[in-house]
Amino acid sequence: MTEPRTARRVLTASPGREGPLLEVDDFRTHFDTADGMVKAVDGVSFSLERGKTLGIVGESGSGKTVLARSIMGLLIGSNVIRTGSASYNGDELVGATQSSLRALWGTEMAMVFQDPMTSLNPVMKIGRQITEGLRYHLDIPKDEAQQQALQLLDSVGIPDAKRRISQYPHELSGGMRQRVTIAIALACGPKLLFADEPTTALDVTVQAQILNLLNQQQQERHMAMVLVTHDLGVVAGRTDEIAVMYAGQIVEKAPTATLFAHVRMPYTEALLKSIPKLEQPSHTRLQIIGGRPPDLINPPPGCRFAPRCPYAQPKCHSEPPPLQEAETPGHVYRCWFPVGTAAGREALERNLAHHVPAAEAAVTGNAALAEKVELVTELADASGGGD
Amino acid sequence: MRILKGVVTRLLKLLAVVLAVSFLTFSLTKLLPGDPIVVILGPQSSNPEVRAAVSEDLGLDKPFLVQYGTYLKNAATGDLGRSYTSKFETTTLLAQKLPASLELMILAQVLSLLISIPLAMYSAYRANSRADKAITTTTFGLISLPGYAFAVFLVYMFALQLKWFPAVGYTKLSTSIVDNLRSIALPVTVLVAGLTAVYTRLLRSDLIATLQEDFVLMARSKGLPTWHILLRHALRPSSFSLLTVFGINFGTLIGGSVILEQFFVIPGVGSLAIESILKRDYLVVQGVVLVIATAFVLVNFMVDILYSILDPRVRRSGAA
Amino acid sequence: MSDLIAHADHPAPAGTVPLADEPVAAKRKRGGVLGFGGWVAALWLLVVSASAVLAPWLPIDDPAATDFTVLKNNSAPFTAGHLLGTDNNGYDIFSRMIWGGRVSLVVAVGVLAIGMLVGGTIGLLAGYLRGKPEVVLMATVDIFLAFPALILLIAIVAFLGADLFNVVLGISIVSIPAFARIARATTLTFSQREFVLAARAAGASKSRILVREILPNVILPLLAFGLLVVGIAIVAEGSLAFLGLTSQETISWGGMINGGKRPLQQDNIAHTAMIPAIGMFLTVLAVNFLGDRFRAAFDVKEAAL
Repeated sequence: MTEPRTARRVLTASPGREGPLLEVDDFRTHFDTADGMVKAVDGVSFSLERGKTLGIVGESGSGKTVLARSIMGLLIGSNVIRTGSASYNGDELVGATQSSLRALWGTEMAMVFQDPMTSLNPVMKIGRQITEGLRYHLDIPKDEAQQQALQLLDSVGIPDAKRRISQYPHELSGGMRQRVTIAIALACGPKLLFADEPTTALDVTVQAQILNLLNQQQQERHMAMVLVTHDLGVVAGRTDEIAVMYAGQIVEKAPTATLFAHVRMPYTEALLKSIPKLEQPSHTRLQIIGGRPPDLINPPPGCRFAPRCPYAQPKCHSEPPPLQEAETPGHVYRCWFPVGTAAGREALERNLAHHVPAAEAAVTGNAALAEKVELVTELADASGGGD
Repeated sequence: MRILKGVVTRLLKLLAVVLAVSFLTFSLTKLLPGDPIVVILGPQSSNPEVRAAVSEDLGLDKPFLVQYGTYLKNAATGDLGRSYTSKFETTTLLAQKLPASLELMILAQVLSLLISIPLAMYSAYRANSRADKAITTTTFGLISLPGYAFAVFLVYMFALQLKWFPAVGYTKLSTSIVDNLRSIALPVTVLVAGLTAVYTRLLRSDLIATLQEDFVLMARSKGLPTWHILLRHALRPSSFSLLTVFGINFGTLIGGSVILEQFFVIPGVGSLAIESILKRDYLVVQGVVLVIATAFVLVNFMVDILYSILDPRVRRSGAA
Repeated sequence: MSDLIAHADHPAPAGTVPLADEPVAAKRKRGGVLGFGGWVAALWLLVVSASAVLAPWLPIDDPAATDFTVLKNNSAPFTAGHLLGTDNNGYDIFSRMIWGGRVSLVVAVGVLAIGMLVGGTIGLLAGYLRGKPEVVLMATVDIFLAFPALILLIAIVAFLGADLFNVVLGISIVSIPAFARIARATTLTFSQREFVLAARAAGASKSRILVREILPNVILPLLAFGLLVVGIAIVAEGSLAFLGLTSQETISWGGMINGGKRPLQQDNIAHTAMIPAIGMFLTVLAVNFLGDRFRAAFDVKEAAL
């Protein structure tokens, strides 16, 4: 592997520093729009070390994509407000100028985007899209860059690289295009990779290949990786740690095995339950989570998941639960009546007794009830949102 | 092979358009009032024998389609007939007038591109800034400004008050380069003003749309500098509308600079067309229209080819 | 150049600047859909149109009466009781401007009406019927487009006679191809939409769908485009007048500029030509501005003309 020599001024980062590569603390990204302040990311904290993978899971609207892009600093505009801290290798990313951030992009951190059809330039040859980064950052001549590009294409598993390198994106299949975007992202040897829903736009058969490729590259290069997805199945077994996001906040974070074994937050439980399992008999109804994600301009007071939660109690609707530690170290969650505890079980029974739609829907898997939950969340939006 | 077939089909279609245009012109000139024989003979036209003789000589007594066929046959060999009034060959007249029109047009188009491309790039890059607003407002004003209105202003300021340029007249390139440039400076300025405004707005608009695309975000995430992204990633996919209008304008400008030719007294193709129309000099009119239509069609053909070079996705499907 | 059609504007999304190094603040627009400028433009057009229509009854000088009390012709503005001065025949320019507005108004309305009616119908039919009718119609349209427009216009007016009616007719004929193309493109977009499919599934006849579902949706973008054409039409009329191809009795702004050519080039007198030039510029500017606002409101994307 070539050691990247950045030809431009870089933030004063010392390579091989002790401690986590990426430290995010109370990170917030708000958008000042005509309708109000959209709090897309509202207080996220985590840390990531080299060679480790963090999975960020959430529905659309949870803020996970905004999180990845705004940590990198890709979002610009006068209405984007970032607060909190995100430090890479000791350097603070929040508040840094675009030009100093640009010095990091490509060489220190990179991103793989969701749809390879739109993230590749349709009128530029594949090879050129790889070599332009190499030539700009590493200052190497054209044929050397070409050689490296060929090697890269090989390493991401593209057969017949010599022919492919002069082709255009539309001449490749979806899976191959995504391999190319991975090759482009890894070209200059970044230490941190953001993978934003890398398999969502691909066929199921190809998904596993791409995920395996990412894992393999990560190990070979000893990279840190943030894997953003809405699919818990994607992160199971591929990540060291998982953070579940809801309405702009992390609602549960744990080492992977712990999360699946000792889930605490009801939202996570609902996500787990909604994964169809092979062992279930055919025609089993799919578990859905009734209701919609909350309004990000005026989120409900109290727990943001409460309107849809089977365990919700009056306290949940008025007091926002803080992140608490569970028994296993490294496991935090946000819930007053967590799953798997006595308090939680009682809360659920109380709700069932009172025929709360969310509880009944969760327990029986009844879709009609889930629709009732939809109404409830709408009411919560209308009234719970401020004035 | 498939590409070749596509090219040939396109050429044939274009040829059909040129033929249709010439046929239409030919028919119109036959149908409209005004007898060419009267034009040629003047007072002698009342003499029936002379009329018959001239009519036969010019082939005006033959049936319509035969006349058209003869015309086409001659045109293919470069003979576009003879002007009724001036007795010159149409081709000679065209050869006399084309240089001035071509010079005006080429100079105007090239200058406009040279100005509008960097201007649009800067404007799109700094969209919504004060500089961009200023540029957008100015271009909007310029496209609303009629050419001759602007010409009046320019002549007043620069020809009459400051005396930098002549108010009227055209000096041939062969006579003196400096004088030639001075004589066309003002009309070219009028043309450039309008063209630049349109091109800048077109390119800026498409650039802004392209800059929202995901692949631009990806290019940014690679750490590439802004000018590189603008030039190498954004410009190409955004140039299609510009290219289209650029091509169309080659056809429009040859005839369309008529007003400026009249105002600045420049002997160009447009003036030739007007004078011939007014004098009922049909053959010359036909010749001019044929030349313009052919040029228009050829340029657009080249624009089509450029499309497929710029956008590889178009190549596959052959015709756009 | 006035006969080049402007492209749809694409405003950058509020607040975001795609590539700037530091974010650029976006200003909020005042005045709603039309915007402050839009209202100014509308007001100007209202004044011009109203004064044009009411011209015979307004207390202004006779536009064709030489004022012998003025010391010489081409007197400058604000002298001797003439607000905008007199031209080289001693006529009052202010009043001629108002009367000239009538011609521009007739041209604007006439071309808009004929263009939308004929061109719109052609495009609508072509876009909806597809198949052979579309090929035939659009091929004809393309042939007309290959004609150099100005020359065609001049030819029409030269042959038919240079009165106002023929001028309007000529400009309309030349603008019909553009209307047809826009109408066809818009029709194509709409006929693919679901509500048309729904209507067909409900058993509506072709003509009923055309008239009740598609037509209302096509008219508005076509009108927005039409406003641009109006600006071009006014300039085109001016061009014809400038070339001397209008009747002598009609007073038009183009003719006034033409009349001002000689004082300008020979006597260094500018106002005779400049005033109608400015008047025309302001009016076309206003029309274009309004057309732009309308187009932004209906979000029409013009396919390459």
